[in-house]
Amino acid sequence: MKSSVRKTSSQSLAATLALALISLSVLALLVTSSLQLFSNIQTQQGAIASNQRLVAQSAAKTVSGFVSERFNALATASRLADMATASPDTQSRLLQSMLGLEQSFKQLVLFDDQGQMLTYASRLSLTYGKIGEEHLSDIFQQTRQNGYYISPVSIDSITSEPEVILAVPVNDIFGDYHGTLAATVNLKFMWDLVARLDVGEGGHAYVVDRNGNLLAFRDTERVLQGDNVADIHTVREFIASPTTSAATHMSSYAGITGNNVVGSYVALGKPDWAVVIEVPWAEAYSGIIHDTVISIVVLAITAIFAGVMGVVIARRLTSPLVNLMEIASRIAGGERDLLVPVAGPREIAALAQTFNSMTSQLRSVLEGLEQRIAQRTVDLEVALAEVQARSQEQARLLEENAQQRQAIRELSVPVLPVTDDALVMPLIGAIDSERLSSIQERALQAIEHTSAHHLLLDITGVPVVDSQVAQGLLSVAQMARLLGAEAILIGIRPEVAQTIVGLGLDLKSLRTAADLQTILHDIH
Amino acid sequence: MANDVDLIFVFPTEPSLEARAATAGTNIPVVFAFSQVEGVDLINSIREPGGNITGVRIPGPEVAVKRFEIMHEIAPTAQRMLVPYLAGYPIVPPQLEALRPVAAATGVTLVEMPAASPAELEAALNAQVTGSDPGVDAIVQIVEPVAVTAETFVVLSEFASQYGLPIGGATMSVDGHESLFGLNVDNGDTGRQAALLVDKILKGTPAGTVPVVSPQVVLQVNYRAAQNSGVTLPKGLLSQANEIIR
Repeated sequence: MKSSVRKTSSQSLAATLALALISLSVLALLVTSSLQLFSNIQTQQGAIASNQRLVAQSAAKTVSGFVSERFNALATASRLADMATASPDTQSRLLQSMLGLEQSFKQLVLFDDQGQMLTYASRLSLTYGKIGEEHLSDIFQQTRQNGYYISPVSIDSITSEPEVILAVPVNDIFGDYHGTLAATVNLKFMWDLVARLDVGEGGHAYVVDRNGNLLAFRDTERVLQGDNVADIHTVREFIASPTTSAATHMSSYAGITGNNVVGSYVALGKPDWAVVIEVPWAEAYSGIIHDTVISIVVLAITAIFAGVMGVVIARRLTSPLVNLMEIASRIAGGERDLLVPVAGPREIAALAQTFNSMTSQLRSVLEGLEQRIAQRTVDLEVALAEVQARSQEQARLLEENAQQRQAIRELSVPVLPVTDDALVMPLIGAIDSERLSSIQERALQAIEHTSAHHLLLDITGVPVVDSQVAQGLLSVAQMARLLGAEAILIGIRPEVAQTIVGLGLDLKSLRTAADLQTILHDIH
Repeated sequence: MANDVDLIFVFPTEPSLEARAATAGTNIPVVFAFSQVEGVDLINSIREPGGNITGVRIPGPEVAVKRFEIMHEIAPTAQRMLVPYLAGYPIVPPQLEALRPVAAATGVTLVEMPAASPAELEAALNAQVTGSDPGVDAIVQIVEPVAVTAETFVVLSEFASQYGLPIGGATMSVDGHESLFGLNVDNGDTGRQAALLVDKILKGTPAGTVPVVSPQVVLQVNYRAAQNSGVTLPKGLLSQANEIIR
């Protein structure tokens, strides 16, 4: 049977389940909230852009109105008073009246149809600020074609205030051209209009010319300094594309005050200025930010609720399993009689029931097994006793055998005293190394005990004398000599003698004799 | 200075010059009003006044010339125009320098009359009278302090009344003595502009970087005084007036 061990998590099932439930809930909430938020942002961005455009157009209308009103004042004066044919005194008085009516007119000049100055009125000295020669050509070209002229913005050298020249044709009742009425208009009178434009709480409007020069802004200091704001994103767009009537830039950029803003511009066309509207990014997106914050709060609350619910549900689901696990653990510890409460969801209740059934069966099986093991143990103990008895018997027999073998070994090398001075060792049968050792041991012991001077080695009964046997016999002879006895080899049969000679064995150092009687006779 | 002030608001020109000198080397900003910047060492330029000073200017030379032109319009036959002024007042020379060529161009002789006090002025006026000829045909006030003090104006007005001379330039009305017209900077506008400058500077903008502002100039015509003195005011002048006093 194969078993596999998978890597286990240290996290509890309840925690895992709770985490899974919370994750799923939060994921679902995140997805739905994000989609809703994205949709909301898209909608609100459109609304903000639309509102921006409306504010910008309104501001543009105000600024255009400033210029238009001055054009209209000039045009009305030129028509109502029949200026072209009026007396010089009337013309002069008319211009002076216009100075009184309109504060932004710094000076007024009436030209005839030939471009000659007829009369002139100025708010300040007559010696200051005549209309420059560089404008006259364009003025007459426009007005002779019944058009209105507006000059590029110039800066008053004394006051640093921006000003433009407006000119309208002076026509008779038939519309025939008879002259030109021109006015220098101080644009600082536009500043208050622009400063008063309602562009939200923190927003503002400003006017730039075609080159990005600031013409009107609530911070008049910057206008007076001749600030050029061409590096501002919307102004740059206007300069790059002055024919585009309007554009809204919804992404944040650094505005005229350096803050992050969203802005729009509306090109006035004529004059070639643009009104720029800037609203602080945070203000423009306050609705979106508010909705986003609300969504995040709702999401957080829902996530917390989902988390709590997840924990509760997870605990409710896993509580029976935890009980099951604890009881299984106790059963594993030996408390076999425990039962798991059958409770909880259907599947878990079924699992508990099955577990109880399984533990019951296991309990029966274990009890049977224990009985069988006990019986087997008894049987094995009996068998072991038998084996031990047999083993003791075998040891005893082996001991007896060893004693018998010792006795046989001693009997196979007998040492017999044949005289007071001689011992005989009749050797019968094959001689191996063990027996040679016994021969040596027995012979030496006998010589030592009897003080004999002759040891007669009778090999009549030895069937084979090989080099090992011959060497052994020579060793016995040498040892005996050391003990003061002479070893004599007797009974060499013809076939043995042939073998000794055939093998080339050297037994010259060993005295031999034909038989026992002969040698006994010789030594006595 | 001793009070360790945050800002000095000062007017007109002479105190402004003193304030500039007194605050030199300190970080106390100065905002001036009713101060002429032409011909005096008050600022470096309109756009960048420099130092630690800015303010609302009074366009002295322009106003003086325009007052002369208006007087010339009221009294086109006047050949001698009296211009009284405080002797040694620093903003006067630039105005006279602007006036002289304009007067010459119109054939008018400027009778420049410096004086240090009403009595001195009265003596100078009387000194130039020859018989029934007062020595001048009209009196025009330029932008300076002596002709606009009550006592001095009474002296001038009585002299003008005695010889039937038109007098105007600054709007004056003292004990029944009135000028025919006044071309003045708008006090309200000047104050408003100065307040904006002070606000900006107190919020941290260095004064020397804030451009000097030009206030609106308003024309007030005293129709009542003209009628009382038998002067006929040109309709053109009346029509361009910001205010007609009746």
